[in-house]
Parts: sequence; C-alpha cells; structure tokens
Amino acid sequence: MRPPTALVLTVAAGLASALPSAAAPVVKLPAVPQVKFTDYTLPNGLRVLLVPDKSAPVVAVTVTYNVGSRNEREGRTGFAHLFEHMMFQGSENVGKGEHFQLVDDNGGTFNGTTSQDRTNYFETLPANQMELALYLEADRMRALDISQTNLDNQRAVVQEEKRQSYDNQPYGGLQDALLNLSYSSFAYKHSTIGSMADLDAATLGDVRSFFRTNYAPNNATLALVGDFQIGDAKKTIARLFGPIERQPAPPPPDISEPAPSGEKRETLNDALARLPLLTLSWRTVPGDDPDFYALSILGGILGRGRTSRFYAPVVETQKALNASAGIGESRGPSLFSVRASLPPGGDPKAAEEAILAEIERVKTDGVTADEVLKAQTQALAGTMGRLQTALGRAQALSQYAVYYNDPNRINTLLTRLQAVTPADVQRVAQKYLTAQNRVVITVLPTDKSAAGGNAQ
Amino acid sequence: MTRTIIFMLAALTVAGVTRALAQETPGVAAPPTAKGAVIRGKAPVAHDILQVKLPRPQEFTLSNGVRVFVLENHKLPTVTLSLSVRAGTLFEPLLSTARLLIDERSLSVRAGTLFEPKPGVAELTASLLDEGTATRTAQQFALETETLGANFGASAGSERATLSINGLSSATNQLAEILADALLHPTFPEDRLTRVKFQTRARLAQARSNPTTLAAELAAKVFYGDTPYARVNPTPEQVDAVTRGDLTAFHAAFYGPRGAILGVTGDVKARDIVKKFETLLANWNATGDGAPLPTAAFAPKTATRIFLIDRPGSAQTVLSWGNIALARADPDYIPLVVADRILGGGASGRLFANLREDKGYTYGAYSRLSTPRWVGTWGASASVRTPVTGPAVGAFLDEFARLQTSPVSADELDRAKRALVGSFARTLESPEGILSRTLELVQNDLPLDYWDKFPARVQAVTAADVERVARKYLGENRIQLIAVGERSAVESRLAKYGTVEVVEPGAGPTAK
Repeated sequence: MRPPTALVLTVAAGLASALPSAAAPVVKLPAVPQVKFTDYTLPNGLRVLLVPDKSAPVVAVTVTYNVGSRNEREGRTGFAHLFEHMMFQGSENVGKGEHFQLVDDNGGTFNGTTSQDRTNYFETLPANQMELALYLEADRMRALDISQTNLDNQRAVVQEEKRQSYDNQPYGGLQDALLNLSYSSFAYKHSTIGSMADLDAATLGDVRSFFRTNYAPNNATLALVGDFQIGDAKKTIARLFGPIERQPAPPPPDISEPAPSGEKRETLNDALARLPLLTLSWRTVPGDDPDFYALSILGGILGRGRTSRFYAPVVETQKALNASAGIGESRGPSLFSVRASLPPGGDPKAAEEAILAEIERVKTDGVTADEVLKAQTQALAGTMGRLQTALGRAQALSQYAVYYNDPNRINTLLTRLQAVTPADVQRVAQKYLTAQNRVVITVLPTDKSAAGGNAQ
Repeated sequence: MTRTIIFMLAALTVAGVTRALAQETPGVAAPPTAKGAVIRGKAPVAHDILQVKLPRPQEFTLSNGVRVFVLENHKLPTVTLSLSVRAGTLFEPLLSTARLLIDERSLSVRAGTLFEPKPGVAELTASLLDEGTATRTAQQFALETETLGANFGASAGSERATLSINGLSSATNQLAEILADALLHPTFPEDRLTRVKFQTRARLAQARSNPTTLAAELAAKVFYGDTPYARVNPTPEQVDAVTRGDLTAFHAAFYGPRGAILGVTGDVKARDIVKKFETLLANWNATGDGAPLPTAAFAPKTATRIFLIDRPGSAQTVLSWGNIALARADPDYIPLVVADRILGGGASGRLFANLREDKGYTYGAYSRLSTPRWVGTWGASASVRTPVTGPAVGAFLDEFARLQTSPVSADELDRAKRALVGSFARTLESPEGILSRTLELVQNDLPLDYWDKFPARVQAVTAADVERVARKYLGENRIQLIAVGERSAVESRLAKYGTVEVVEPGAGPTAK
C-alpha cells in the first residue's frame, strides 16, 4: 500500500498547481452523465417530460403539482397535505384503496409528498404496466371522488401522522418555531403539517375548490422515465390526459419579505428530548438565485464531515456531539441552517459562540480553494446516487420544471456548483450570515426528561 | 454505529416534507370485500407478470479464502465496496475466551464456554476503525476520504460487522486502500476511544427517547431471554467499561478472513478489483476456523403476555406484537412471506385497510417478518392515538384471528403472489439491491440459483398453506404484546385484554 502521507501530499500538490480553477482533479472528476429529455405541453397546459431509458425494465411516473402549503390560506394550515391524502381515496374509475392494490399487486411502489413549494405523486412499476401508472394519475387529475366519510377518515389519519412524526418525537416543535421566526409571509411562516384545529376545520367545500383550482393540467408537470417507446408514450398520454379541462391559473402566493429586522431568539422546552439542540438559521435566496450555489458550497465547508470548519472547534472540543450546516432548497427564500446536538447538560451558549466564531473567520479570512474543491467533489458524488433510479430523475425533472420552469437544471446544477470560487463563498457568508438576519432556537430537555435519559 | 453524514448540499427534498404513507412501502392485497377498500376493476392492467432473471454477480475467492462478489454496472461513474466479517455482537461473549487464547499465541476461538459478555465491544470496535490506523491519524483518514468525495462507514450487527466505502469510480484504487487500512491496521487510540464513548452514551440516551426503540429493546428480551441473541443497546455504564484492550483483542480474534465477504458494485472491472484486493489483503491470514454462533434454542411463546412501558408525555401508544417464528432457511419461509404480505405487507395489507383506511386509528399499521440465520420473529405494529388504544388492540386481534380461521380468497392470494414476483423488475434498477439479494443467499447458506426458482415456489403456495403457517406462527392466545405510552391513560384500556405487566425502560420481563 502506498504510504498515506504521500497521498496527502499528492492531493495538496494537485490542488496547489490547479488553483484557482475550481475543477482541478485530485481524483479525476468524471463528466456528469447528462439526462436527455423530451419536453412538450399538451393543449390543455399539461407539461410533459419524457426520458426513455432501457437500462432496467421499469417505468417511473411523477406528477408534480404547482401547489404546496405556501398556497394555503389562514385558518387552513395543513390543508395541502390533507388534500394529498384525499388523492388516494378514489376517483371515478379507481375505488378507495384500489390505487394501493393496483400498484402493490403489480410489483410497484408509490407515494405522494407535500412540501411548502409543491405536491408530488409518483409510482414505479414494471415497464409493461406503463399505461396503468399513467391511468391512475390521469383518472384522479380528471375526476377525483370526494366524500365526507373519506375526508373524516383521512383527517384522522393525518392527525395521527402529526402525532407520530411530530408530537410524539423529540424536537417535534422545532420546525414550527423555526418557520415562524424566519418568515414574515404567511406562505412560508407555517409548517406543512399544519395545526390540529385547522385540520379539524377543513370542509368538503374546501376540498372541492382546492381540487378545481390547483389540480388542473395547466398547474402540473408529468414526467415519465424508463423503458418505453416514445411514440407509444405520447399517444397514451394524449389519450388519458388530453381530455382533462384547463382551469384559470391560481393566483401566485405573496412571498415577499421585508428586510431582516434584527436577531430573533427562542428557547423551547421539550419533554421528549434527552439532549439540548441548537439551531442557527438565516433567510437567504431562492434555489435559482446565483448566490444559492455558493451558499450550498459554504454549507459543505462549514459542516460536512470531520474535516469541516466546525468539527475541530465545536465537535472535537465536545461543545457539541455534531454540527452540520447547509441550505434547504426552496423556490422562495431558502433557509441556511446550522444544527448542533449537545451532550447532556451541554452549554448552548458555548456551542453558539464557537459556531459563530467559525462563521466570522470565513467572513474575515475567506476559505481555501481546496475546501471549495472538496465540497464540490462531495456534491458531485452525492448527486450521482439521485440520478440512478428512474424515479429520482422523474422527480427532479418535474420539480425543476414547476419551480423554475427549468427541467434542465438536472444537468446544470453541478456545473453551477463547480463554478463557485472561494471569493463567492466569502461574499455570500458576509452578505447573508449576519446577526441582523439570524434566528437562534435552543431546545432544552425538561428536567423530567433529562432524568429519564440517565435510566437505561 | 454507522457514522451518519448529513447531506444538505443541494438537497432535492425540502425540510418538512410530509407524505401519504410512511416511507416503507412494499405491499399487497386486501380482499375486495375488505373494509377500507372499494374495487371498481376498470383500470388497465397488463395481465402478464414481467418475468426477470436477476443478474448473478461474478464470484471469486481470494487466496486467503475471502469470497468476492462483483456486479459491474457502468451507468454511473461510482463504486461501492463493502466488506463484512463475522465480528458482530453475538461474538462478544466469546471475547474472554479469545483473550486467553491470544495471550497463548494461539488465535483459534473455540465454541462452548460463554463468558460474561461486555456489551458494546463489537460496536465500539467497528466505530474506531476510522479513528486512527498504523499509517493514518483519524484526521488524515477523514481528509483523504472527504477529499475524494467518498463516504466511509463501519457498523456491527448481530453476526457481522460491515465496513463500506462509496465514491467516484475514478478513485476506486484509493477507496480500496482506505477500506483495507481500516480493516487491517486500526490502532484504537485511547483518546479517540474516550471521545467515541462520550458520543455513544449521548446517542444512546437520545435513542431511548424514541418509543419504538424502547419497544424493540424489550421485545429482544421477551423473545430471546438471557441468551446473547437478546443483546440490545449497551447501557452507559457498559459503554464506560469497555477498554482499549477489549477492542484490540476483539479485532484480533474476530476480524479475520474466515467467512469474510467482499461485495463490489459499480463502474469497475471485476478482474481489476479482485487483483487489487488480492494484493491489499495478501497478509490477512486465517486465524482459526471461525467462531460458530452461540447455540441456543428458541420456541414460540405459548401464552399471551401484555407488557407496558410507561412513557410520560406520549401523544400515542406504540403497539408492537410478535412471537418467535423461523430462520431464513426454513421451508416455511416462502408461505410465511405470502401470509405476511396479506396480513400487513404494505398499504394494501389487511392491517392498513382496517386500522387506517377504515378506522382512522393510525398513520400506518404493518406486519413484519424478521428472518435472520437463527430463529427470527413475526409480528406487527402501529402507533395509535391514546384514546383508541383498546379498540386498536381489538382490531389487531381480529386480523390475527381472521388469517387463521377464514380461508384466503383465490383473488387475494393471487394478488399477493403477483406482488412478490412482480417486484423483481424494480430490483434491476439498483446494482446494490441485486448484490444484496445474492449476499442474502450466501450468508444464509442458500443455493445461488434460489432467486431463479423463487417465482415458481411462490406460485405453488396455496390458501391452505397460508392458513397453516398463520396458525403455526401466530397461534391462538400466544402472541406477545408490548405497548409504550402514557401509563395512566393506557393501562386500564389494555387490562381488558389480559394482565398488564409494567416494565421499566431497558428492563426485561420477569421470569414466568
């Protein structure tokens, strides 16, 4: 085996000689495989993205609707997600529960997810069931079957989801607090899961009007990836989705934000937590803003892995058990967040000071070219996995079409990340990671739960 | 104890995504008459099941006996290397024996005498592999790995400890060198051990705030009694008691090539990677015959018991059911897989249709068949809101009884079989998935043509088979129930179904 020190030196030399070019290969960086797609729109406004790929005998379908919790109105938080559940409760030709059976019984998988920015529905099936997959999506887009019994049933299910995923989990209240302090617009200020009271208030009339307004073909993008003939797919899509009527476009939500008005802080007491948790967060830019890419690289440099900036001063010193950083992509103002779990009895103030000192160091002294390259290489390796499955590509293509009218972002994202320079990273740290723009939330175990943590 | 790296870079998903059902999905079939489902039969379904033959990975054996399985896939420029050794938690009780024998310069480990185990040794050994080697400090190890854009992880399961690294295939040789270094030359520095113990204690404290962790810890003790198979997470005191000497001894005794398996997937040439590892592992020699698994016999529990762990502040009750079932190689495995899918294998299973889609008690109710090399368990679970704990218990019992007493309809049986066979097409999307299907066979001493014959064997399962295995493994009044929730609100609701035994978190059942 080669002595490791030699390898490290080789790495360093490779970096030095290649500066300041961001793409200098330590390990030879491979070309990113490009996803070639056909992009067209039906007369009723449904955008269609097709990627034939014969490498496995499967097809993946995703329909991404241009509606998420950011489109909800006050008093109806959680409704976009509740509605997503209603999309599995039957349509004109598919009964309640039949969707589950049709996909499962034929060897497929399916789900639907709701975020602030969009709602998507997807299935992967053996390739000979392409028509079934498209039919299931078209039938519910065209003629959802809505009943009070099913609404009451799924309201209960969603409330159990909230209990299971939030109320009965440690740090379950963090997301609500973070959004509430970070945003002024109602669109982003509230969480996707919503409140129990608002879920209780939802009516059948709400379901009907939400469907008519938001689930129209002109408010959706269909992506089909896998082993199919393109002519055959186009014909089937035209037949199944073509007759669905276009609707007036829904109004865009108001997502405007005033300039940041000063640091906001909150401490939450959590009976289910055993360890203190610290989050620092800054409101930044949408995912297609030029600064987004430098913020992504900054996140990797600060908080990804044992050679990141936070590791030695925050984790090695045992001020925290871990400290991660990154930007969560949104089509609205994305949040750049740092999150650190503290040891039992750990001092949140000491951890916060250590984290802020590292951020100050980036603002003052900048970052090195090899740090940028490392974050870029990690982004490249991490992105590959998401391109492997047909479903991964279908979701990315349709989401980028809905968010930015740019499905080709699937191919350009890594190039943009690789164009980031050390100066870009320093500049965005200075611009966005300010005290004025900061939200700090500390979650502390209550005394009772802390005591319970010592029991085995 | 895999090191978790949080990927936040350019993540596609957004924080706070909620979904229609929890993210485990494989599923099957409730009958058209089931509550919670309406079947219209109008959707266009291709009648044929797309039959696929799983590609067989290329197999090699290194000169020291290590078996190597390589599945080339050149779609993406990435590679995953994964090496497992028989150094899991089940071997902890043999550690004292091993130490004695190592002291005598004889490295073979004999079966038989079990010593007082030191829980935590197996996990801590795996966790320390990348915390310093003979030629790399922890920091150098991390710098090399992260500069290559790679991820290294090592963890210990029951029988095997697994080291894996993935990254860009242009760095395959460097990734192989890093993996081999962690395997062969860890130095277990004292200061790193202190740090990892500190992290482990905190992580375990956090894990115990999760109600399903509490239920799983008790389940292991209920089903596997005082044997090494009941091994759950170590206590903070047990973590503290592990020494550097324990780790070096455990590594010397159990990180050997006997029974070791190397799996490789991705953009590599099989011959090249085998040659590379032949060189890297040239001095890794056998240290004996390899330790046998501890002997222990497990029989299904013969009388239902209801256990309750008090978790103040709970918003739901976790209901976790089960009993001892069978080993992976048991002939009943295939009929039981079919029965499991009918009962609760996914969103179209009977439990989901009844407890969620009809009654709205829960976000999801599923059954689960666990079949290790030894005798595993079959059970079911759901998290339900506290006030419906009683009726939810009743609904589970109804479904358990129905599977044993009412014949499965031809339609429901056929759909379950279609699902099992049809899902193979999707496996072809993932080289890692195909390889893991092969390794499942290797690790359970099953023939390598097993998956070729699987569809026909599934098709041969009859309604009578399903009823038979349901009776044999669920049985009447035999299943065990573990509930985790707010005791003051739940105990009386459970008491309608039998005597409730309250158990402290982390404790086992009282002898009976």
